[in-house]
Amino acid sequence: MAAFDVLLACLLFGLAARLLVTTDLFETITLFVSFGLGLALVWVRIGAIDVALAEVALGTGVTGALLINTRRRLENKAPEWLEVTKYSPAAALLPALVGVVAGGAALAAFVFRLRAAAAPGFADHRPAELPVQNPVTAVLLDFRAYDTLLEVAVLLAGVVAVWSLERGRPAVPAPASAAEEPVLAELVRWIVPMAVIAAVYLTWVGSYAPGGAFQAGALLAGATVLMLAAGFLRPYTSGSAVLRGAVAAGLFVFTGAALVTAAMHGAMLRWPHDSAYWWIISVEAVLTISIAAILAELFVDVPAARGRQ
Amino acid sequence: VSGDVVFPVLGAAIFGLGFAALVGRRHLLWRIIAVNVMASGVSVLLLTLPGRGADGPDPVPQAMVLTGIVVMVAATGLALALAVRIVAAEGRRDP
Repeated sequence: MAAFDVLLACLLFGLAARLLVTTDLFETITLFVSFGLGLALVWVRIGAIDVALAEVALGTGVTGALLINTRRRLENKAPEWLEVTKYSPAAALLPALVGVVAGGAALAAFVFRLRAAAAPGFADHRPAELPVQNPVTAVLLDFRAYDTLLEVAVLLAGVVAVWSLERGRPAVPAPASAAEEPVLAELVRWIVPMAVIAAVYLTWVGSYAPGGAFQAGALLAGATVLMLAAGFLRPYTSGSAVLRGAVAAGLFVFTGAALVTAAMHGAMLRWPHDSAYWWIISVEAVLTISIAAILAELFVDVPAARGRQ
Repeated sequence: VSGDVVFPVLGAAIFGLGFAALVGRRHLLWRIIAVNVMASGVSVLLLTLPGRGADGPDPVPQAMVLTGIVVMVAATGLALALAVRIVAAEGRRDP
């Protein structure tokens, strides 16, 4: 299958080169999403299914939607920012720079590759018995749970920063009735229940197969953004206690679990041996809700559809 | 060329492309996208350099890349909010 790999690599290189040099923002976003989907194929080819799911849901889905939403905001606020002329000096420099940087990096890659072959992997430190059968989930929530705890803190800090940037923004008008965009409304009625079921499944299945809180949270966030766009949810509620609670719940519960385990046997985030599965699945369930709320909150003022104005 | 070499070279090349765009382009949104492309290149390097195991790459780098993707989304969301804020504050286009 080496030929397929070469083809895939050429496709991804072409997409990346094109999306970075074009002057049409919408084209770039479309190519960026295609690039992410192609990248997910690479993850599938090397057997990293968890990463492929996260790439599609988060790296491609959520990021692509964020970019489209930002493009719309610029269109309303400062349309001249979207009329990009070609960037002449860099266009000439680009190929040379790419050659030097990529060549050097590839060389470094092969040097490091020799070292990587000697470095011990998870398999060498792997505990005899994993609390959950999916090794990636075991790393995320048991072996290196501390990293994941801090990752959730980073997410929370990100959304708080976005909130503080948007202070003083005029209140968004009440959402239009969904009937004004009947196709979107009907689509949302079909997709949202399926997304909720898929998210519950992904959280649960993450313990023994690819999946987990981050992928599930991204799905729920996508469903939420769709509901905002269709006018089923009120757009701006960052002052609401429920939303703030949901955003903070993941970090609070995770930290609480760390403190409880520290009190129990003096080691933070070392789950009790006989109930480790339940600790992990409970933390994951809360994380899913929290991550969904955080990701959805990154979408600043998604407009409720009200037809063409 | 074996498949074990193709993807690391791809990762390095994608990183290089992203870096070239990051320093070459003036527009904030393309710079944000360029950083995302660079992060993808790093992920490809991280997961494909050690070669292919029987049941996929080592779980620790997989978890690191997963963490990286999630953090990158949050960072991108914040960067985009900042970019819109800059546009609103400057009220004119970056020269």
